[in-house]
Amino acid sequence: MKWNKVMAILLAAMLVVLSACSSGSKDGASDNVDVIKVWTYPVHGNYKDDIAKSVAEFHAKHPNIRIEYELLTWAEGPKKFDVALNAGSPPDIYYHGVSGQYVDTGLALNLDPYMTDEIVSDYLPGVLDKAKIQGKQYGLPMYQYQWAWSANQRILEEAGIDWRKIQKEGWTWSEFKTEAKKMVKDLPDGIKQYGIVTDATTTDFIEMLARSSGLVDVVDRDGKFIWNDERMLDTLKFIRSLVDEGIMPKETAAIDPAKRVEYFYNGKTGIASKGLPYYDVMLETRAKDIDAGKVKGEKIEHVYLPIPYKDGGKWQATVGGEGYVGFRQKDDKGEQHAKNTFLVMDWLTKGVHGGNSASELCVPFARQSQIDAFKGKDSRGKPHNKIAAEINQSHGVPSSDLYVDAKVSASKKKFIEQAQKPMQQALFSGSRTPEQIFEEFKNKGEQLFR
Amino acid sequence: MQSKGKIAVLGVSITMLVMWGIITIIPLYWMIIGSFQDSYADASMKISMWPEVWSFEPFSRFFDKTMAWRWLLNSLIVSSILTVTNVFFASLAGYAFAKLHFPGRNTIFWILLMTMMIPTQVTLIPLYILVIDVFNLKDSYMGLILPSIVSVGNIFLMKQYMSTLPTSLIHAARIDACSEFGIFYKIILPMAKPGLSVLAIFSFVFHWNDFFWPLLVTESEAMRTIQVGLAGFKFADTTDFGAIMAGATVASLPMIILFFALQRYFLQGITIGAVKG
Repeated sequence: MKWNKVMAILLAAMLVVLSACSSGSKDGASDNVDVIKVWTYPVHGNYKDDIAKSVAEFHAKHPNIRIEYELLTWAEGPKKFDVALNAGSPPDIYYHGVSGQYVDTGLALNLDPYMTDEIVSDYLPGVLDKAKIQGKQYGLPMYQYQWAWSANQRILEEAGIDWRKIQKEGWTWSEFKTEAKKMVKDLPDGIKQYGIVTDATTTDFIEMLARSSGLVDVVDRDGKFIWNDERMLDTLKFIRSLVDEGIMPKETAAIDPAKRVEYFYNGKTGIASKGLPYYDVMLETRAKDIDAGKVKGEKIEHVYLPIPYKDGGKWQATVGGEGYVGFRQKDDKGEQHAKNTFLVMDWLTKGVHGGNSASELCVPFARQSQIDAFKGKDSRGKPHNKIAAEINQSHGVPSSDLYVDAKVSASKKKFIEQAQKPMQQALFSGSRTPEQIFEEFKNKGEQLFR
Repeated sequence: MQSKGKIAVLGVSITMLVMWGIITIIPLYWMIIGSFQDSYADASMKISMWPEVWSFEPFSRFFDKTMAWRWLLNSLIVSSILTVTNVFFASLAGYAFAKLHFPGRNTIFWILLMTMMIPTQVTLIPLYILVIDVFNLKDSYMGLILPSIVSVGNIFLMKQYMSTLPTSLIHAARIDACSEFGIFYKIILPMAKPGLSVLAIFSFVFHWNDFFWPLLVTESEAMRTIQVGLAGFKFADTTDFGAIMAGATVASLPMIILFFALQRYFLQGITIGAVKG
């Protein structure tokens, strides 16, 4: 009897909670209001507040359109988006760079019919191209991103390295090696200081150096596999020599991204791979925390350095455009909805709304209206690093992803997972020679890009 | 000689068990210690085994800057309801498959078992379409709960457990003119209490820790569960390890309490289904 009562109470409670808590449809907007769904990320530190403000201003101006936005997490957001896209119900707008994979689903919104002359002319030269796939516009960039290396000014100067010259003129692999060796030394506490530290999990180190050898990507713009070129072997040999000559730690194969940052923050390396101008802001915040006694350590003055290029080659930087990409759903909501989607995309990327991110991330603006909105305002980041970022941007080579079809994109992804990631571990650990790894690349490439 | 050998074996066993215990407990210890170290601004996960300065900052960041209480409540609601539904439906189905004779019983059971062979990755997108697009249950408790209302694994577990219960009692109840539901409620359920308890514990733990489905279904911050909320402390270039550790410590408290309160049933759970009836 007692058991009966317990079960009955639990079931009743369950039904009450279920009926009380189910929120039902969230699309319950009135017939005249078009709901535009935006999935975005915490693009910069204050983006949550900035986008809330932008959306509120948009609602005041366009009462017939309602923006429902969700801030995804960097780690898990892409997985959520992948499921939604594969299910045929992606959000109307997603924060990302454009990708051939999106276009292949048939759900990416071609923005060309909505691009007015005013919008096209508002974009700085070449920026819109960074959100095109095979000549068609699918995204509106919010800022121009770039990756390079970050350095500790004190260590550079102690080694007598003219970093201002490097920021302006770039450097070759052999020049880099000469300079980096100057930074290698034993510190008084018995710890070794290295020239450069990278991690073995992220793939950018090998990619950026391959790019600087003249190989823009795993594939070229025509989708042809190019990491079977001898320059790839040179890149692999160069990376291995950094470990062999003690410029990079022998334990690189065991270093993860957090550890890489730790090396940099603890002054155990002059340069950390995968740097971006935003380190200015991060290190500024850290310096304040050191002052406040929250963190112990050295206040680091950040120097943004370009990736060295192969002797005899040319400076080729990793750049792109990130912003908003438009989508339709399998259950298409019609032409007016698509127009409204574009209207929101334009709003979120122009003027102060889009410029906030470029300003906070210390990267070049994407639109003239962003520059105008921030004219005369204090912007973050060190002036010399901003100039360095602009120079680096001018040497930018966009990824082949903008030109190749989805099939090639998918093969490239497989190549990275099945060959590049395991082989870079092998390269750092020394379990395989650069020649063996190069052979592995060639074989895998032949198999995947036939 | 033999006793010396036994002592040696015992010594080795104890040493290995102690080492195993230490290895098992280190992550838990690290999590708790990490929650008292303010490692946010450092962004380099420098968590030492004993903090120089004890700080409650990670807890204050976790509770003050987020909807942590709401996430905990959501997790509690979802896990509790799913525990009740799983116990209820799995016990009914388990009883039917174990003790009732009806046409196609074995076929239905095998079909159910076969669904366990299909990887989640395969069913995920159809389930997403069904819940989000067809039923429009996104960002709702119903969306979080409905797909997991009962699992085949739990039905299988209960069927195995019910099979161990004496059928003669059911026959006796029938002779005494007890109805089928009466038999289930008055005879079977009281006898199945240990099995049901294990099922309830496992269900609660599983749904409390579930991450991916709540991530897919929820949109607003207010609807997130604790595990999804915790992932929000990972940023593009940094991770607030202090707050994550504080959140994980808070999130694991119900599990730790549950474990110590129901240790006996956890141990039974290891052997449940292994005894042939």
